Amino acid sequence: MNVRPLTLALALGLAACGSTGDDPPDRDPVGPTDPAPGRRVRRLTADQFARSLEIATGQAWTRYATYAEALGKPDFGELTDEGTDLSVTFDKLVHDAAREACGRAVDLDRTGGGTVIMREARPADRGDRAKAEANLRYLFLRFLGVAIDAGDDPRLAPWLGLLEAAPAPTTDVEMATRWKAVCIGLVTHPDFLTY
Amino acid sequence: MTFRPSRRFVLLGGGLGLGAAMLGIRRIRDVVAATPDESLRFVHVYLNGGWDVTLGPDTRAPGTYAGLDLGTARLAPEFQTPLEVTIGGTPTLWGSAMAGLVPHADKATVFRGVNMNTVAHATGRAYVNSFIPPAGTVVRGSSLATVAAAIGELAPERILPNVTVGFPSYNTAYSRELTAVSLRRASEIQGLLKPLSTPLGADVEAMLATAQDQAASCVSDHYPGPRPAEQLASSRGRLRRLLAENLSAQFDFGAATADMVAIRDRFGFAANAVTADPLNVGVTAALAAQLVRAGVSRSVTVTMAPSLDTHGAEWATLHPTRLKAALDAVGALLTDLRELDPDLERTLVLVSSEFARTPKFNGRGGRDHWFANSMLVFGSALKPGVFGATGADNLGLQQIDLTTGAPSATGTVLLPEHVGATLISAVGGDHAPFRVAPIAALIPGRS
Repeated sequence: MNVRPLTLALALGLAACGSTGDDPPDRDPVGPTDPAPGRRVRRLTADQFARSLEIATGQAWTRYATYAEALGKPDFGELTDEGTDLSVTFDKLVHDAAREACGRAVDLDRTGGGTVIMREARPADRGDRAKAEANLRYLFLRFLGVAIDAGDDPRLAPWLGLLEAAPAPTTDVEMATRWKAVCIGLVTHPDFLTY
Repeated sequence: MTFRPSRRFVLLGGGLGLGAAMLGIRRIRDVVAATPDESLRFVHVYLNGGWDVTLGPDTRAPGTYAGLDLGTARLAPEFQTPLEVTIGGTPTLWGSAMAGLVPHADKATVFRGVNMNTVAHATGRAYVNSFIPPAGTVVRGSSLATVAAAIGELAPERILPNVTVGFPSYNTAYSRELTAVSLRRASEIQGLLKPLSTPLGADVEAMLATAQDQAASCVSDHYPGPRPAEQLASSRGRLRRLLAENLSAQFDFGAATADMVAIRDRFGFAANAVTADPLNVGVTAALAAQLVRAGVSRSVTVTMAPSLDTHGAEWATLHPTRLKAALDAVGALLTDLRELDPDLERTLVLVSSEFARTPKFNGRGGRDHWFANSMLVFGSALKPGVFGATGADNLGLQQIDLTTGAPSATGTVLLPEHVGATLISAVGGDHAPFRVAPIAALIPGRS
């Protein structure tokens, strides 16, 4: 596993989420409200997204070459600017990519003994809240570079809700499908797609 | 209260067989089109690379001019003779590349001698994006198409109120709903509309959507720029509505259905053009037409490519053929739009390029970049006619009287912001961002 990108992502994530001050930073009250380009939150480029997806899930998006331009990659023939809008088109293709990569990663975990997505909780651990929380904390670190210490952190709540929502999964396949959904949710999370 | 069935209601009825029983085999797009719709539809066609207006809207009769070489002898025979058209009761000449637009001359307003103040592509493109003078190559203000999309109440049926193909779009002042959906190529519409791959099952899909909506972003509340989570939430909401409508079949231009065969015939492209020729102007125009006809978009911007930037001897071959293909596609687009709105009373089509090309040839037999541009507008919002002028023998900029459009030594040089302000004011919008007054003489009922 390539540790360096994860370490970098963790450092960036902690830097982004670690500030708890209540006072806004000083800035020119009459100046532009948009931050300078160098300080803006930016969307991943097409290449960055494809590579990040592969590192996070261990699976490449096989259709990337087909949709790279639609994701904003310039062809340097007619288009020379990198498109970085968080547009409907981008969101659609990100969902398609996430479904393919997450589907394959979870299937490999379930049938091939992999531990990329389901490392701390296996499909058979249905109803085990502690393992689900541990795996979600692992996935937050892996996908978003966010270290979560407590299981009751509110950032986990939507994903615990997804895993435990009725009707409760009764088979390994159903449980694995819930983890696919969590994986897709994290790939399509704004913190995964921006930096 | 009068019951006006929404587009969603009609589609649902169609899905239940009600539509089939009532309307036989009428196509969905016709059913949708039949829904009462009084709101503005705006299409901006951008001609990529700088068009030669002497082959288009600002030509001259073949002959000898002191500062202008028409290059007639260099052109293929079909491009040598200009077309005589009458616009608003005034006879004028159009270049032969505009043959496809002649049937729509009754609704044409031609702006000539528009000073682009630049011969740089990026700056010109920025200028014809918002029609406000750019800051270098940076667009100032919102795209004209975004401003047009903001006029009037936005019906919920407009899932994609503002769509742009191959042209940057900006929204500095309006709701996020009006920020354009950006496609790089027309063919990308299928990737957008087709169902999501590997569905998880309805219940898990709903759980995922709920979790996505509840998930928080870690961007600080103090961050002053656009918030990615909010931008993404807006896009995601539209994506969900879009997928729920299952519109894919209406944009599958390569399909063998009767609908799609008819569209290909009208716009002049082959079934494989969608994949084999991604810059096909017919496909691009068909997409614009279908987005408007299907009722999902109010404002559409399309780039007509490939490039018209012909600095060498290819001017004589590539430029006229590419320009004619693009304008033929615009003609087909107008024909399509006029089936729903014959007098273009609620439809406005703007055709522009970043600048024109020099009146004389360079050493390589091509034309370089030239300030004095033209723009075309089709629609009843403006009075038909020719407004503005260039020098008769040199294609130079001229001062004009803004109350008549005629040359005047004490007049004003026409600028893109005059065109923008006039268009937006004519359809009920606010012209203030353009910082010039609209040309009242062109707006019915104001002069």
